[in-house]
Amino acid sequence: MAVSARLVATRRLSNLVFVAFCGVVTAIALTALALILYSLVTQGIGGMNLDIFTKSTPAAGTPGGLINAIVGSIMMSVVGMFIALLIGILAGTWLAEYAGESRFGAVVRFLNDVLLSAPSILIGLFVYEILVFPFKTFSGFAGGVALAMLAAPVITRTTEDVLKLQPIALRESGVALGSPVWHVIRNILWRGATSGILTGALLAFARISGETAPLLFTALNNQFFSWDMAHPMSSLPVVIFQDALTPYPDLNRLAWAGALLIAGSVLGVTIIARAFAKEPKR
Amino acid sequence: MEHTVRAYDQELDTITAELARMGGLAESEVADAIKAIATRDMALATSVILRDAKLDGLEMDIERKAVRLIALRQPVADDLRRTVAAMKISMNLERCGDLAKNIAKRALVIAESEPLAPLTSSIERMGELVTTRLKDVLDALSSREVDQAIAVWQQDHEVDEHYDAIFRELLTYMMGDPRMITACAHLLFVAKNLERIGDHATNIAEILHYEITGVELTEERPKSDALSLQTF
Amino acid sequence: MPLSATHAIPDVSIAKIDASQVKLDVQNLDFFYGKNRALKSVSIPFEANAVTALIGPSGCGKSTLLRTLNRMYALYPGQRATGKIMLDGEDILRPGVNLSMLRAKIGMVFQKPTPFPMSIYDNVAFGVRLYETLNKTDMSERVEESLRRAALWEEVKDKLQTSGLGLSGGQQQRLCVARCIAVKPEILLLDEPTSALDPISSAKLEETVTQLKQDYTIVIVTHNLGQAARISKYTGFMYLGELVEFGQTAEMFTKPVTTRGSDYITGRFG
Repeated sequence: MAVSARLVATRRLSNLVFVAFCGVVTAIALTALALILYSLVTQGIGGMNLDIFTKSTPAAGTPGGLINAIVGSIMMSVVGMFIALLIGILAGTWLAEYAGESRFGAVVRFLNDVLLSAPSILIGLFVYEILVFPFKTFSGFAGGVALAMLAAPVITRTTEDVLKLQPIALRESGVALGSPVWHVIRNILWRGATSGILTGALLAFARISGETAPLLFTALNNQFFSWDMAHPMSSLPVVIFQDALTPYPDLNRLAWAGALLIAGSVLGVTIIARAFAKEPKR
Repeated sequence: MEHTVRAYDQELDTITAELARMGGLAESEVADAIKAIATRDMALATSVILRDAKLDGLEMDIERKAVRLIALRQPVADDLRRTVAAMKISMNLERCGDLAKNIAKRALVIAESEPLAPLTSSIERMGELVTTRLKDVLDALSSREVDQAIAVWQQDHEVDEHYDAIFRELLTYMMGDPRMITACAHLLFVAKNLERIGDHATNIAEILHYEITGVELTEERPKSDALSLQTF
Repeated sequence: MPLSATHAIPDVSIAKIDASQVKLDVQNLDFFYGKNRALKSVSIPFEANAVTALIGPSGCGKSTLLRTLNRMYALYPGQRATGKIMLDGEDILRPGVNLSMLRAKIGMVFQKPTPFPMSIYDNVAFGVRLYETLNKTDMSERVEESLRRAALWEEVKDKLQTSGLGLSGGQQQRLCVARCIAVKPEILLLDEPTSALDPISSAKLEETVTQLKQDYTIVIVTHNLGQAARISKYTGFMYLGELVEFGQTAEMFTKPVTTRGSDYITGRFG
């Protein structure tokens, strides 16, 4: 059937309009991102100096750094990610491999999705109720648990998704060799899903590294350097939150530097993990 | 049932149709060659000789089409048997045509010698028998009647017996009158050719049997248990 | 033709094989996906050290039959088989059969190549490690032998430590064959092993199968009738969960006995 010239012209035009619309919207998003990064870098770079990595958070008007917050953030993130990976990978594996279409599986999947979009401040309150109030003290550990509760649903979801993407025949060929199912999961499926699970972990890490609200209720803050996770602990987001609200320019500068640090570290971790999790070439 | 690919059916049908045309041509060629001998009709003999080229052309055409079909469609089972059988039957029919042409050529020679009334009539009888065989087997081919093919196959000995009788008859004539040797020798060849045409009819019956049933008729021609061969 | 009048064409025709030659004997097998009966009282013998091809239109149950032979279906709740499958005089459908040992005896290769996400060497060694503890030299020998038998050795001997995913489709499929035979099974099940391969790779795999048949009982499911005709000694034609015709391949492709079998292989339906 011959297509009339008019029809062709109409199609060309509508295609052009759509592509142009997509381009404009993308440009708006990218501009916003560029502006944020620009102000983050220009404002943050001024506060950067060696003191940031050697001194603890100061009182207004005295020199100081962020080392207590950096160490606190790292420790709580590591604890949080450790717990979240453990729970997330196992739960995701269970959902993908064993739950199937069962009712229990469906309930778990649904609750995980609810948790995925739960406001972080609620998570903070919850952990406050179960770990801070009973033990009568804010603690770095409670902060880690709160972060884990934010990260675990993301990891659970991505783990389930990437495992389900593995071809059924791959499972069956493992089983056909006489391998038990758990052995197939551990040695074949997880291996094949590594890069996907890692992506999920990164997403989760990116999500928790900037979280302030749950930490306010759990780890609170600590003016001093501390390794002790049983007691209140400082963290970068909370320090930024507090310092940014003060009227003192030096503390504001410190907050900008902290924000730049978070953004930089998320970027750095992402790049490193990507390099390790390169898809095997096909 | 039709093939999912309908062009395949058309190609097979074309081959079958051409084979039927070939059968008709060969049959009339043989019949006319015998008539030319019996009636000393030189014009008819010449027309038989000229008509044979058409048969040769058809045979080549069927072979070409069958080879093409095998290459492009990879026929199996009954389709394969049908295709291969078409090739083999067309070869046999082409040979029948050649033999008829040979008879017609001899008819031209015999027509110039003295008439041998009793002899030509026995040749004519044998010719009729062979023509009937050929006609029967071609009928079986078009109706796909396996029983009819078996009947032709079983009756081959009658043609052979006829040939033996004519052979003895001709020998007697040749010993009696040496002047008749040339004509008799030609008639002997005519009888031999007729016997060969009978063999080809038998071959076609065998091929047809294989095509339809998938079982070869290769054993000593048994008269009674031929039917049990088709139980499969 | 009058044959049909005097000699009825059978609806179903299953050839017998000398019992001493039968490696795997399926008897009255029924298979259910939940309530859906996918196999209807199928009885088929598989001759030792020969290739048997299973053909039939999609959904006819040929893959299902294959998947009962190593009890792959046991992975999925709701799927069950009744009847008998005798392997060396033992019914493998009996409860309490050690599935791991059963699958060590019966290897399977799938439609799509499924190399594990690991090196070529580890792919082949994977199954062996489940059953045997070999030292490095023995394991290397086993890997080499298996790859040679699968006609892949020459192509991969210099890159055994690279990922199996880096191979071409045809090579991946032969890697799967090597992985299977490394375990030293007695029976090989091939589920449309060449349907995802190009013609040259398919031919290589067919050649591999032909080489293997002297040592293994091979059952191959295929949609490629030419392939079934080329490599198998016996062919089973299945339709709607039923085994309609089973017999020597050469017979099947020149004079099939049943009308349904004939119509299928000549391209009249399916």
